[in-house]
Amino acid sequence: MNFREYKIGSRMFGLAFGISMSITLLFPSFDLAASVVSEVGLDKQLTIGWDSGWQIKDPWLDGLNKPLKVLVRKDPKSGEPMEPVYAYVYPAGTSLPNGVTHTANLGKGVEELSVKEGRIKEAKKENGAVFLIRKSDQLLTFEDKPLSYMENATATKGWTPDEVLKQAADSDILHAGAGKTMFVREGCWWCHTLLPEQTQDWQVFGAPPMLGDFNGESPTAFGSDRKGPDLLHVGSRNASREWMMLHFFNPRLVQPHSIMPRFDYLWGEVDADGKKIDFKKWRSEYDEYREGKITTPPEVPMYAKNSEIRNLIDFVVNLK
Amino acid sequence: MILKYLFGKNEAIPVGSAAIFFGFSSILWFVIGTGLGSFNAAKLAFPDFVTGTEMFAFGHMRQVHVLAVIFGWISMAFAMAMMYITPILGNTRLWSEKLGMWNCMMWNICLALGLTLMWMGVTSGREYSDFPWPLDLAVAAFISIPLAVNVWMTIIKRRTQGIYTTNWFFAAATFMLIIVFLVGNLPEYFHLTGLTEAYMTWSIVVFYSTPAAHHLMSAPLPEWLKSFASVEGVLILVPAIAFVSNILLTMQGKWNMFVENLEVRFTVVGVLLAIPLNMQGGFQQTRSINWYIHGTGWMVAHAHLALLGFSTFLEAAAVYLGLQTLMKRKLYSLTLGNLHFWLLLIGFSTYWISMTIAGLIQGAGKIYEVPYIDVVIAEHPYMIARWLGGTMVFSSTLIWLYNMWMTAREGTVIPAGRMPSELAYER
Repeated sequence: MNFREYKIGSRMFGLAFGISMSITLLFPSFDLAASVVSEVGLDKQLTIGWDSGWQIKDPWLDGLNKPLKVLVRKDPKSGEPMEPVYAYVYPAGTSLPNGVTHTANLGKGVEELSVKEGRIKEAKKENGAVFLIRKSDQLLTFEDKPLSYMENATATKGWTPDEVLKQAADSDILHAGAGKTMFVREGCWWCHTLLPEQTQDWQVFGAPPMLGDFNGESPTAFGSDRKGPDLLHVGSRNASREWMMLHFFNPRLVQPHSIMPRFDYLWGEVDADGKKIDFKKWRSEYDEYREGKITTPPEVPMYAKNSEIRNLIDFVVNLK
Repeated sequence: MILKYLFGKNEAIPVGSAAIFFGFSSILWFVIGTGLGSFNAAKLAFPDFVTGTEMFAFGHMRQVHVLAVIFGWISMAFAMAMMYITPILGNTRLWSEKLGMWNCMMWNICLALGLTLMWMGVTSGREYSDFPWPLDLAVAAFISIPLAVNVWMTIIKRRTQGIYTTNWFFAAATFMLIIVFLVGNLPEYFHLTGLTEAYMTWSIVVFYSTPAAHHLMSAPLPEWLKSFASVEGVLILVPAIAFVSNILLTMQGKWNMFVENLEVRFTVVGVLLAIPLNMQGGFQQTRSINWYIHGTGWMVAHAHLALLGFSTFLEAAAVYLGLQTLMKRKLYSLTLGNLHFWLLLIGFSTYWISMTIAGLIQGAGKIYEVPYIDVVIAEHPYMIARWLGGTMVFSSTLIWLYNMWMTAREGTVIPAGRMPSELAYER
């Protein structure tokens, strides 16, 4: 083995390789690590929890190991009515979000506030925890917006996951965390981006995301290719669960030209009343409707409370 | 026979066994990958085609198509070329045929396992690094590292004084593959999140480093990084133009081979397709063009130009020539070879042109912010054309598989010391 004749070449290769890795890995990592999480970013990571792709605690991507986003209308301790507020409920055993386990991820300012005021380090996975998003008086220096931080309500207010869930009606509970898992598993992101572009898209799809909107989110799943509209703010454009239900069951029911696949299989075996759903019958009746033999399409069955489609619809309407 | 070679002595394995194993595996994955592609395209043209089951939903099948062609066809055909070309250019034998055989078998097993899981929806949710991280580690340990070891050891143990250009490329490519794959999957091993994750996945796992951020031109990444990546992206043209000119000038005075020799025809068409590929690639990522075509079908067309145009034609040439030489059998049928070539070329062109037009329509729809459904309606004819083109490509791969299988069984035996091109075609 004789490398003598390649001395100059190998040195030049080492130099080029070192420079390219510095520019592409090292320097950007300083920039990205300096980003401060925004309120959107806090809401996203608390809603979605640890990870929405494959993880050991959810190997088949069933939406396990996920928190619930709950609209709290009554104080869970006293039962008195209060100003409604969203709480993020992590039942016992649920993996805590990235910002709690790796607080550096929250960025300068938010990290200190969340640890000191919000007492997030006291949250324990074994006991579960309830989180809130709080606004502080401090300003984000470059945006002049108040800093938001995480609060561990289990430590500060004594709210336990069970108490918060008990006072909430089912319609106030969003399974948006499990819904993100559905979004990843069903490959929604192959056709729908979660990324309105900076140069256009403002009027129809809304504002593009900011740097701090992504802290702690994994996977971001913002997609690379559009075959359908952007969904980042879809819940602001259309928050009708009934429309979503029809559209997921068969998109051609509400949009005849849609090329979206049917997601009727996410309904599972039974409908909201526990009756078995007869997909075969539905499809043949729908075909008759398409051929003009009957004037109205068959009724779309109401989904069960614990069905996968409920998770997905909760996730989609929560995209504000 | 495969089992005998896997567990036999290295010296007892005939020269070229690993390359032949890789060659046929790659063709088989090409059939599977393009078949899935054609099926997916049918769903985009006719959304109610095979509907209502999880396993045949578009979102479950799309990434299986992509990874089957990338890891199965493109990469395995490259591995076949390396197993065949590296020893010849070093005037030696492959360092270890046995390692090559194991490499190929583990490659098939890992890929089949990974794609099955992904088909069921078990994904990391990161484009191009979709496999869950335990499988990523298996891919590194059983696919990319053994390949690199075999190629590097063959080059080190060569019996020529210098290292031929091709082998420089192979050595660098196998090295970079390991770096790219391991670094690109870092977010998964260490649970990196947010933009760091998106940036690492998109920039590193997608083959290159310095121009990489140009994939994320509309994401909120640091502006200096985007500008730097954009300039680097244009600079890709330097090696690209050098490559194309070098190959085409090599053809000087030998252009009759372009007509007479199937392998040369495949090679030259691949190189010619590199011209639009690099012209698109160099400029479409600059901000002034990217804002129009980002996230549209143009990109899909460009990706297929790279993999189904440029790479596929070059690698098909390598697999054609390598299999004939190593099996010492003349190609079974020139007619079927020609049919493969033309179906592939016409099918690909149909696909590429229709998707480029669809992308431009989408781009116009995007910047003028027309209701998205109008874009879907306008794209419909091109989706049908795309499906037809893709189906032609799929048919061509079936013909190719048959042709190579028959070559192995019934092709004329090439006498020792002769090249395949020295024998006349019989069919």
